Amino acid sequence: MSFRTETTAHPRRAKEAHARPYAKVMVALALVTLFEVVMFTPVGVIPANLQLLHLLTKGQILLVLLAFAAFKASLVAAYYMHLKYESRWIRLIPIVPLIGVAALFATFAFK
Amino acid sequence: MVSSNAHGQEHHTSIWPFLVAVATGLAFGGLVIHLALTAFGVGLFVFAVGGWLHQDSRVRFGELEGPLEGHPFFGISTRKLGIWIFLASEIMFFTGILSNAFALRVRTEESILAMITAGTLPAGAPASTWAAPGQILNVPLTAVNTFILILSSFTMVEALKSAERGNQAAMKGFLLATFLLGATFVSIQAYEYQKLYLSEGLRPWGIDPALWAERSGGALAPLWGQTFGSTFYVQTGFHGAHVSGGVLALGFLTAKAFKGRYSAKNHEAIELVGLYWHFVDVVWIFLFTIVYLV
Repeated sequence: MSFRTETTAHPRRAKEAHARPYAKVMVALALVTLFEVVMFTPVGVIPANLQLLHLLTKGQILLVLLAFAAFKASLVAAYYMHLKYESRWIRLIPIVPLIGVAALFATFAFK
Repeated sequence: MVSSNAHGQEHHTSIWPFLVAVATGLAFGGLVIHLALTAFGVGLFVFAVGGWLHQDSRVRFGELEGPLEGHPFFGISTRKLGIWIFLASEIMFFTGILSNAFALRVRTEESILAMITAGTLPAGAPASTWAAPGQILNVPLTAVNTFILILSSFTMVEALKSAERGNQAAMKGFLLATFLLGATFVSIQAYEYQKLYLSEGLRPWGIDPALWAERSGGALAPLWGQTFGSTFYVQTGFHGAHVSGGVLALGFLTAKAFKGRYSAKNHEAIELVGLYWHFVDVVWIFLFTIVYLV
């Protein structure tokens, strides 16, 4: 067995070294969070009649906010956790429990 | 402990990870058998983690932190494979907690709605099925805490980038910043808990009726108070415990970085702790939505 000294040896990671949009991801995460707080909670930044909190139904609010959360989580996983640049074997590991998560949400949705 | 075999290859053996696993098993087993066993397991866990960190901190300057274990699985380091399998188990752990809380909430809302519709709601009880966003929880404060966690994920990934480039000063600075931001998050959460428990009367077993009546002109405490209190503390408490563990790991990592133990060739620990830290961030993204915004 050979012993390698590189700790981040995968070639896809080299691609990442040239494009690291870490700051852009942080700004996107912060902006989406700010939008959520301003539009969906009574913080009083904008008039209440313009808030999505009062324009959407409870179910619609849940769906929209979960979609935002999934988008933000995907950004963190893809860029900060480097899944976008990892080998497919590493990417497979979190997919296995996520299949269970999807099945659970499907059960909720059908009920 | 490092030893060499007949081929001159180094083997890394340590009793501490095994003891950590045994201690964890005892702590959880005690929840079923006897709480004394849980207390022993927790004590052994703390002792074993301390021993492990002590052993790890004695790696000499310039030496790779722990002999490299090879890459037997499709070129993936065994340590990275290990942390990803751990994170997969954590996804299942938090999914269980969040979905349980969500199911309890749905059942509670349905029951109260049925009572409102049938006109059987106790006189004086609020006719609401759940707390409105911001009614009990401090959303602006938690939003600030969310920004702090997002910023800490950024500084963490920048620390890794700096380590890969061999920029020691930037690596130390970003690691220290991540540690301080993480500690700030935990401190704000502790402050939030203290305010909720004492001022709002939100307890894990329900809302304090006297405090609620005092603030709402003599109204009864809401029927959803019990479910709201228990699900809130379980969800945010388990996440807070994970963040606290991450802060301890970051403190250790930062101390090692300031001792010059990481380099452009030897920084896998920063990547692995970073993966855990980002995962904690991902969990918070969902918790913030489900607990505070919906």
